[in-house]
Formats: sequence, structure tokens, C-alpha cells
Amino acid sequence: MNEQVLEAGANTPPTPAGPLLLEATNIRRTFGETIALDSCTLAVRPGEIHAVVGENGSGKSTLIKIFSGIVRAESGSLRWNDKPVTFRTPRAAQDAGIATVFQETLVLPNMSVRDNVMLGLDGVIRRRSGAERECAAVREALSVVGLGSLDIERAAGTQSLATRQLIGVARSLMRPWRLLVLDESTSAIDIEDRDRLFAALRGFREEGRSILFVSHRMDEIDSIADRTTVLRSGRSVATLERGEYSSETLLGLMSTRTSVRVAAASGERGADAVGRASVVSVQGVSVAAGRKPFDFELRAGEIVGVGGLEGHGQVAFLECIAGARRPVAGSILSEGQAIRSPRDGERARIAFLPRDRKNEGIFSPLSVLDNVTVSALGAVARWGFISTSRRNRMADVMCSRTKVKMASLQAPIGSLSGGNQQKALLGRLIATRPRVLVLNDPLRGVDLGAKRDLYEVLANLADSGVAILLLSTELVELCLLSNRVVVFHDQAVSAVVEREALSERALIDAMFAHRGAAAAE
Amino acid sequence: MQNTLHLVSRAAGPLVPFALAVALFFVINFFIPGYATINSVLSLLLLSSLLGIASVGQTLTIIIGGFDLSIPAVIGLANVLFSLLYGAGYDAFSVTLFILAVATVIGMANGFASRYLQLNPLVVTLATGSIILGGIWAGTHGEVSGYVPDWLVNMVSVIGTTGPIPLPGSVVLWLAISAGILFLENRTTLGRWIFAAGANPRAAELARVPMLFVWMSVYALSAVLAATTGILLAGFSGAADPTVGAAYLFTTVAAVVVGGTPLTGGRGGYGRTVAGCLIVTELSTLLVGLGLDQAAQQIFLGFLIVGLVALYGREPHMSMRL
Repeated sequence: MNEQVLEAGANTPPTPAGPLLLEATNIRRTFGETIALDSCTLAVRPGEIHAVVGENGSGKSTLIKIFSGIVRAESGSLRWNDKPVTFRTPRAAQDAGIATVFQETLVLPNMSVRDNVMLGLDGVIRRRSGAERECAAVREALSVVGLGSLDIERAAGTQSLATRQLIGVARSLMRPWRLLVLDESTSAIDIEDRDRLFAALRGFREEGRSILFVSHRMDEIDSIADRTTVLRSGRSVATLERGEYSSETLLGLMSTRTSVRVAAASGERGADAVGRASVVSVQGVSVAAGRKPFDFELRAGEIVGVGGLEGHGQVAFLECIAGARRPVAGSILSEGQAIRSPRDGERARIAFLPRDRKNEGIFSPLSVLDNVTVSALGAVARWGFISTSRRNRMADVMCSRTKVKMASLQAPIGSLSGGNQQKALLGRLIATRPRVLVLNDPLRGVDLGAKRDLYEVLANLADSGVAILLLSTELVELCLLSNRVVVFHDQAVSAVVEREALSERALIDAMFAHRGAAAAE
Repeated sequence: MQNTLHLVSRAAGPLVPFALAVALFFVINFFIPGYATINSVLSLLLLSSLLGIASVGQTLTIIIGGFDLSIPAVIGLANVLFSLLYGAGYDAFSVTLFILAVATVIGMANGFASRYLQLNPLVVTLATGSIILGGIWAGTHGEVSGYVPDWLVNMVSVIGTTGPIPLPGSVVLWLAISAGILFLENRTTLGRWIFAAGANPRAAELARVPMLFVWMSVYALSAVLAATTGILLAGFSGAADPTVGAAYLFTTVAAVVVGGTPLTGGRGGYGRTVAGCLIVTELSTLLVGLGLDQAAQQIFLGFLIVGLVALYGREPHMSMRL
């Protein structure tokens, strides 16, 4: 039955009912040798939410850059409102009514939230008289994305990554628009905020405005997309109506490989981990003043998921384990030694992966070789002199263990896809031969192919005896990978869900614990 | 367009500025007929060597995301101290060691204040420079006398030789230092940490790069090599002068930028600066040969820097990322 759907989707050109808002036909664009877009066709109707999915490198970003006036198509036609157009500058696309929010949103950390929302809108000289009206407009845009209570005069840099992304969305809403393009702009946002944003998006749809939505999350596409266009290697493979497909179908269409089934991490691993030695022991720890302290043992060879709505203390918990922060109360011990500073964490061989890959993870201009080996240079050097061959071998081993796909070890890491960057960063951690991996949302903004690889890598690491603490905002992932999940609510642990009881439902209940089950409905 | 240019300049690596340095030599010969002689090459190398040794610190501090504005003052200090102490009868070896030790302390202080105290390196090194120059004036009241050994004069003389090598000692020293710095950059842990620290300081910290060590080492190296230039310059002029380093503030930055090391940090390297030094020295030779005075040369170099920074130092425009 699936196959019939595929056929129908692939062969029928998206014949629209009524006029189209945006129509891209056979778009092609190359960058030197690389064919970013080969032949891509996509049509957005007025008043629809249209999802675009595809593995990294399938051309999604380029397509969006063409719609936003950043890159121009080499051939093919672009029609806006039934008239042929070429957007020569980002300004031209904005003026036509296309508002784009990019994956790595530019938020200036030292400027206020208000100035960030106004960025690019205010004239050179701000009119003083308009200040109040401006504030009102900024507040309104922020409340649409669920940030109504945010202090708009505070510096944007003090906000969480999720909030910064939402500030980017709010900025785009400030200009009049008819098509809102979201390029993975929801990757850091947790379910609660996301649902609020989705409600806003549905509202826009009712007004007859359209949304073009790029996402790696199947659950998001399921819950919001009216139609979905699948890209594969620069070609649009199919446009499917809602209800015509399952996640499996989409994965199958996207993948250049035959296997579509997500490499499920073995749940049985949990069973034999129970008897293993504890590597980190958390005793009476509170991450915020006056909150209920909790005890917790992390054992060798298990993957413990960490969940919770944004800002409920789970990140602070990870930082405490890594020694980057001290708990308000209680102690964290590894083999009898207290973890109080990053140096203690290093000594206990606890490796930490920060959430913000671009700003806290990669050295963008440096080679994959440098990026992978930087934390473990001591192991391939004597008296500070590096052995080139040992260093190369270390990088080779790490990259093959984490399945990094790259042109060569000398390629700048900035030229790799997000998923491969993340794999390389994981390689950097593994190179330090850690006993504990503390991972803050490692699968954020990673395409599905790379995710499958990373699942396997994490499972292998656990099998080799490494204890993994895995924070994820995706419930499916927590259920798939974890032996148990520690759920945070209101700066304290609200539940530890064991493997047998693990389900998205159970996690959601725990996340909303103190508001009762009704709130989760 | 800018992007393409950037890519091309990166792929070709440091070969582009070297090719430019060679081409420029022939350009000078075109404007100043009879320029291409062995003596011209030697004097070009000699002047470049002084600039080159002083530029090591500027290159490395720029790569880690800093700047060293105290280089001219350290040059002046070393210059004055060497003439004074040698003139007072201390032996040259001890005097040199003493000066390099003083420079190490100055550099470590620069690195410590910039990194550990999180003060802006521009301000820190500007202040250090001011303190040093002020100290020299206070200590000597502007009257510096003394003299320098003959071997030092020989090191910076166009007709000087180094043992069997028919090159002035200063040039040989520069070659040795360049080789050492290239080795440091590529084959030592400190070298790779320098690039990581500059490419993304926050990530470097999280990746357990010892940032304080990196900053203090780089600034100490910068001061030690500035002091070395100062000692060599004592042989050049034969007399001590606290302001002898003044010209090196701008020319070291020019050499780094012309070589193609971007001011944004984490990229480039000393190999490029070597070519940059040759180009900057050639340009001043050419401008002098064309009859331009000091003022006109400065104007020209100023425009050159702005132009080059505009070419390769820029990030994609903001409106592209909003």
C-alpha cells in the first residue's frame, strides 16, 4: 500500500487546486563541482503549511537561500503570486513578502531583546517618538511565539538557545509577510514552546498565509504539515498530502540507502548494566536553592536519558556532573573523589559535549584533524612535540568510530554537514578515553541519516563500558536510546522512568508533573 | 564574489603572497632600473629580517585573537638596555640573557592581564608600552649613551657574513626563527592550541585547551622576539634610541595583514607573514625610490592595509544572516 502511495506521489506533479503563492520549477544550482540542486520543483499554496524534508546535503538550505534572495538559481523558474521573479537580494525577497528564519539565527548577544527583534528594521536614526509603539509591536511579535513575558530590555545573550531561536522568529514576524520560511528554526525548542509556536502557525494558516517548514523531526511534520516535499540529492522526489504517508515512507523516500529502519539501540543492554559498577554517584544534590535533593547512580555501560521542558534544571544537572558548575547542595562523587571543578571532571575522565555546536563546539576554520585531536594532543605528543603519524592515526580511528563522512582529515570542519560536525565532536570526546560522556542534546539539528549513525555510535560506546548521560529534547529518542530517563521538573527530579515503563506518554506526564496530568492532555 | 576570492586565497595558501613578493621585486626593477643586484637583495633581506623577527609576536597574538601594541616599546627598551649595559662593561651574553628575561616577564604580564583578568589586549599592551617607554625616559632622562660590540654591527650589515654563510647574521637568525615558528605552529601542542584558541575561544575552553598558558606563552614569545629586534637595531644604528621601535607598530601589523592572516583569529600563520615582511619592505623601497617621503609612505601603507582588510578580513554581511 505504501508503494502505491509512493508512486502516486512521485509521478503526479503537484497540481494545485487554485492559484499558487510560490512556484519553483526545475531549479538548478551548483557551487563549483558540487551540484546543490539538480532539478527541484516545489509549490506552496496560499494558506498551507508545507514541510520540506531531506538528508543533509539534499539541497534544502540552498533552496531556501534561493527563496530568500541570498543565492540565485542557475536555471529553472521561480514564480511568486503567478508572476515570474528572481530575488536578487535578501531585501527583495523580504519586500515581496517572504520572511525567513535561518537555522543559525543571528542574535547579537550584547543587544537587548527588543533591539534584536528590531534588527534590520529600524532606520539609521531611530525616531524617538516611535519608541512606545515600537515596544508594543515587539511585545506583540514576541507573544505570538510564546515569549510574551520576556523582559525586552535584557541582553539577548542571557537567554537560552531556544529563546534566541524564538527571538529570530519574532524578528521575521515584524515585517508584513505572506510566506514564512522556517529553516529548522525549532531545533532547540522544547515541546511546550513548540506547541505554542505551532498554534501560532496554524493561526497564520487560517489567515491565508503560508509557512514553508524545514525540519528533521518526524513528529513535527506529523503534527503540523499539510503537505510535505521530499528532497534527495538535489531533486524533489515527491510532494505528499497529509495522511498519504507515514514516517517510514518519508524516510524511505529521503534515504539514498536501502535500509530505512532506524538502527534501534538495544534495550537489552540495560539488563546487564544493572549489576555494573557505579561510575558517578550523585548524593543529595539540588540544582537550585530550596528544591528537593535527589540521589542518583550512573553505572558503567548504560545510557541514561535526561529530559524535561526547557529551563527546568536538567542542563544545570549536566553541568554539575561535568564539574562546570557546583550544585547548590549535596555532592557528586566519582570513584570516591568529589567533582567540584572542570579539572575534577577531567581527572575523573568525564567528557562534556555542549549544546551549541557552532559557538561552543567546533573550530570552524580548522581541519577535522585539529578538531578531533585538540583535547587529546598530550596522548600523541612528547614534551609538547606532536608525532604527526600518531596524531593522524588517532583522528582516523576516531572518525571511523563515529562514522564521520568527509573529503579528508584536512578539510575544514566548517565545510561538513551539521551531522558530521557532531560526529567529529563526539570523536573529540572519545579521543580523551572518557569513562563518562555527558551529552547536551547531541542530536539537535542533525539529519536523519547522521542520526542513525549516531544512535549506533552511542550504543557501541555504551557496550564498551562508557556511561552516557544523554539530554535530548526529542521524546522518541529518549525512549529509543535510554536504559532509563531522569525527568526534571521545576529544578528537581520529578521521576526516573525505567526501561520497562518508558513511553512518550510517561515522559510527558513526568515533565508536567506538578501541573497534573490534565495539563499534559 | 568575496566568498570565491576567500576560497581561492585559502586554497592557494601562503604561496600567493610569496609570488607577489617575487613579482614586486621585478616591478621595482622596472621603476628603478639597475635595482636587481645582489646588494639590493641582501639589503631587502636584512631589512625584512628585522621586521620579520618583530612580526612573529604580532602574527601569533593576532591568531589567538589578541594584538600586541607593546612591541615598539619592548624594542626600544632592549635597544637602550643593551647599549647601556654593554657600554657599562657587562659581557654581551649576560646582557642579552638579562634583556630576554625582562622581556619574558613583560610578555607574561601582558598575557596574564589579557586572559586571566579578561582585559582588552589592545588596552593592556598599549598601557604596557606606555609604562615601558615612560620608564625609559624616567630612568635615562632622554640621554642615552653607550656602545655596541663589532659582531653585532656585523650582524646587521649588508656585507656581513655568518661563518661560512655569505649572509648577515640577522638574516640567518631570521631564517632559523622562521623555521622554529613554523615548527611550533604545526608540530607542537602549543601551536595547535594557539589556532584553536583563536578560532573559537569558548569552544577551546570547553575542549580543555589551557588558555592561560597559551596566552602567556604567546605574549612572552612576542616580547622576547621584539627584544631580539631591539638588540639587533642597536647594532644597526650604533647608538641607543628608545623610539627606535616606533615604526614597527604599524609595519608589523601591515606585514601580518599583507601576508593574509585575517584579524579575526584562528587562521593564517607565520609563513604568510614572512612573505608579508618582504612585500612591506619592498613597497617602502619602491616608494623611497619613487621619491616619496616618510609621510607619503605612511599614507600609502595606511590605504593598503584598509584595502586588504576589506578584501579578506570580512565576515559575510549581516543582512545575509538575519
